[in-house]
Amino acid sequence: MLCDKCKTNQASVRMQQYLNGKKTEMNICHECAYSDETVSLDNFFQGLMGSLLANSVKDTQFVPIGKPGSAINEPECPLCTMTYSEFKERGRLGCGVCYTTFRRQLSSILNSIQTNSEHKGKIPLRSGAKLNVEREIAKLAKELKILVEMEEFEKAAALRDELRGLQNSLKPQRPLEPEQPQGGDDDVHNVV
Amino acid sequence: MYTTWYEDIRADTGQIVSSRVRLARNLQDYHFPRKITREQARELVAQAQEAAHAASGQTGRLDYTDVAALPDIMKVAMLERHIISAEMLHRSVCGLLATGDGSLAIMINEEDHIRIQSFGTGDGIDAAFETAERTDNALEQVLDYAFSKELGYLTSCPSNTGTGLRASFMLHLPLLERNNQIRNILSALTKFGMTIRGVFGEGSESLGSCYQISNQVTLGKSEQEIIESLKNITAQICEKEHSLLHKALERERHDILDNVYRSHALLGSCRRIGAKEAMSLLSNVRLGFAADILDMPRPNKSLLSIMMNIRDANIQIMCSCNSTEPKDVCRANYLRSVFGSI
Repeated sequence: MLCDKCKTNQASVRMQQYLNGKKTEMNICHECAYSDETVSLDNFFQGLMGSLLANSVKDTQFVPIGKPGSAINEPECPLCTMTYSEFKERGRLGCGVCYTTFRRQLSSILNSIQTNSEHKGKIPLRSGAKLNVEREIAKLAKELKILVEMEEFEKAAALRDELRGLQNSLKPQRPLEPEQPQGGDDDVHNVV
Repeated sequence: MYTTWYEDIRADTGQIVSSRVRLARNLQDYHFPRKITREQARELVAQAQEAAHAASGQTGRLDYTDVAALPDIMKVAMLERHIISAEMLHRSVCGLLATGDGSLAIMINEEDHIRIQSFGTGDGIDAAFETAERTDNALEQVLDYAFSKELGYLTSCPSNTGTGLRASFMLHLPLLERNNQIRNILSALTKFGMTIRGVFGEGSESLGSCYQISNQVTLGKSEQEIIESLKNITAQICEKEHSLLHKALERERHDILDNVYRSHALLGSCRRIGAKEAMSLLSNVRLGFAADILDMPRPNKSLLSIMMNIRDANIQIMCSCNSTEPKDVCRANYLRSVFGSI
């Protein structure tokens, strides 16, 4: 449900105001609630603490939308302000950060609609160059293990050198210092 | 030489009418279309245009259409040709970058920021994928995609995340449809992370016996695995359709021939015809040509393009210049010009 004031953000509280004995209600977002001149920060926070506390505020009350306490406790994406309820309603996420914000909820959805929860496809060539090398290293390491098990030591040695080259390419370049001796940081050294 | 990819008469051969590949991508610096502001959307469109311009060496020239600014009927006509999606009909800022023959089309600010679509006639899915991937690589040299090591390309709908790939074949399956086998195929496909749906028509209605089979799973499989599975399953479906046709021609050859020839004759002489009936007749004629049992001159453009041309918005646009006749009359006039004498 969108905020009745700004029509942009998700409404998170119901503002109830009493004027001359007449009650008016609006569903608004946190930002509009903060900016409302008729509302002090104190009674806003009191309202957010729950409907019981909200009842003690005389002129303006804030009641969480939905089940008691649910809306205010619901995680909201820090980048695009989408809530999980909004996603469920529309079926669309608001930004890439939503995947982190709603990781737990999305994980069950992904498990039900996808066969596996880990990406095995393409990686962007430019921005994912490092990931591509890491994936290649993992692939070569598996091949190396098989070669060693098959006692194909000559081929394993060649593959180990290739693997080493890739691993070195991931290390930060320090041209002013002499090259650091390698050792102990990978399993490849002990292969042959 | 054809003006658009779907006019190619190779679309009339065999059960596979066409192939399509779609890659969904989003830019990391913008909210997804559900949350994007108008200002951001304008920036996004401009950035995508710049990227496409830089990529033209790999993709060929891509012309931009401001879809949001088009009259509604033009948008619906593009939707009927599957060039844009229903999502774009009501967007206030969105556009399309496409090659002259429409075989490569990039939707901007659709459900996702960028949707690269590549089309081909028949079973040309490998070529379609190669084109889409080349385009993707070229755009990515300029654009920063929203990507996670674990979840792959991040999309508006989690059902597309991972590869962002939707690979599909359009199949002509009149025999399987007549034998009420489509529902069985659907339940079998679901187990393999794929689905089937009607291409033309709304809701569960499927006109012209044309169906789209596509992958649903996008995460946990590589692009090559997805396409290979789709090709394998499609080959089995086509084999089943072929076998049913073979049996039908053995048992009821005269009935089938009669139906195919009558359909051709009706298309060549009708004076008023609705879209549903026309699609059914075109389906019969396509079966006749594909099975090589219809000894009549072929239209100079594919039946796929004729199926697209007779849809409501397209026929309205085609006839509005020189006619105030009802749509069904315009449709009949067009079909006679293709199949018979005016």
